Amino acid sequence: MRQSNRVRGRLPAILLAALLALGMAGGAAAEKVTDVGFYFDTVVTLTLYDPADGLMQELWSACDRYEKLLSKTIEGSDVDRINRSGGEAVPVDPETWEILARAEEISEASGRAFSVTIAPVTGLWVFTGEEPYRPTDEEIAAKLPLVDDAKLVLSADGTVSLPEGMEIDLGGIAKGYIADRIAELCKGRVSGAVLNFGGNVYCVGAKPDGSAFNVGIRDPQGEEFSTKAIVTVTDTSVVTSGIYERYFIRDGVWYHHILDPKTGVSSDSDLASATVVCPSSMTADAAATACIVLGREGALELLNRLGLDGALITREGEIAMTDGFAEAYQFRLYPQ
Amino acid sequence: METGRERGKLPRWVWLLPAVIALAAALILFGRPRATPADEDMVIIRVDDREYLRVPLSEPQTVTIEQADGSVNVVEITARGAVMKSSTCHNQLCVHMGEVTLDNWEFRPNGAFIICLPNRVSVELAVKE
Repeated sequence: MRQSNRVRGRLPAILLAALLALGMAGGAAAEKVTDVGFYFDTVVTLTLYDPADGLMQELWSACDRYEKLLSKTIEGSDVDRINRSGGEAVPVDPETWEILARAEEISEASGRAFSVTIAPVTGLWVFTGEEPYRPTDEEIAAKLPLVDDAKLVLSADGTVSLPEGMEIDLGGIAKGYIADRIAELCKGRVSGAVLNFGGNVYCVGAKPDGSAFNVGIRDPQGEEFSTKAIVTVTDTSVVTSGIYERYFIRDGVWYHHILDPKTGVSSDSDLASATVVCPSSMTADAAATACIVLGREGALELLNRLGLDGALITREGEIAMTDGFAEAYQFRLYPQ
Repeated sequence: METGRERGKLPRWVWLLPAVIALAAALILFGRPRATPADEDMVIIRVDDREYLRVPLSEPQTVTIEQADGSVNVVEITARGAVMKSSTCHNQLCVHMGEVTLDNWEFRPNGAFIICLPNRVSVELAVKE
């Protein structure tokens, strides 16, 4: 009886605490954590909502590992060892092998518009820094015979062979692969995430309000980094390649970093940017690059043949899309 | 021991119920306890991958970041966002990234960030969500 009275006497306080707890819990916002890292010659920004303990550090550790594995300029990386192999078969990490296998598929499917063996030609150009350089036609002609993805041999024993003198560069596909792996690490351990690898954006889950993420597509003709359009996505990647990313103007000619593997010179197709939306950021990465080289018609044909969704912006500012793209991703011009 | 008169009467604290419910509702709607970096929108400046400074939008100011290698970035923080006013970097891309604001951060190609890659400076508009 005394016990009952004590509880009854405390009932108002208990009720108050319960209601306040309900209020606090019901209104609890997502924990949003952001961080910045410098990897793969670009800036990586990670935005995580409700991350599991230690996840952010785990993601950076993964980025660090992939850079050491896939960078062309880090001594001892798989790519470095392949490039220095002198024609010998090199055992590589299964992940490197997987990336090269997918690269070869996209290269072949695109009619060699995408190439990882373009490295000897890419090495002639300087797009960044205070003294950009456009190699002479003779310099380019001397290196072009070394550009041939068909000569890259991936053996079932996990080794990679490349003829002496040839080199590979995974710059057109590695960021996509890494975005895929980082997104995979996030799944089930965040309520949402936006992972931006310098143009490769992977959206995981949903925003705190439950809605999908908006990704801005840059206006290639805009003087500043203005937005041309928006796509709304979840659990997929949005990869945009553009001729405005790394470039210089010499003698009135716009030289950008997307080289045509057949000519060794910046692609002169009618496309200024290509955006590919795909759950495989690796595929989207390589395909977007190939699209720029192929031009509008070839790019649409490639995307449709590979079953990929994409939006293309021409140098004149016109937009072309694969079938159903606008509806699937609520593609809309910006400002709306 | 309760009397018949006490049993028939509602306890006094019952009259507090509407106030308590209203308080809980207010907490749900307006009083969200946040685990985000702070209780208001702010600008976070990082150099390399380290945090350099965070400034609430309620404290508009101009921040100059001078690094040992001689590079200098100037960030203007306003009540609605931030912009890279100047940079000693060679390509000036960060200066051309425009202003990141409470209205456009979700739709910009770079999202909530302004990046100066050569000087390894990043400016983030950290928005409450």
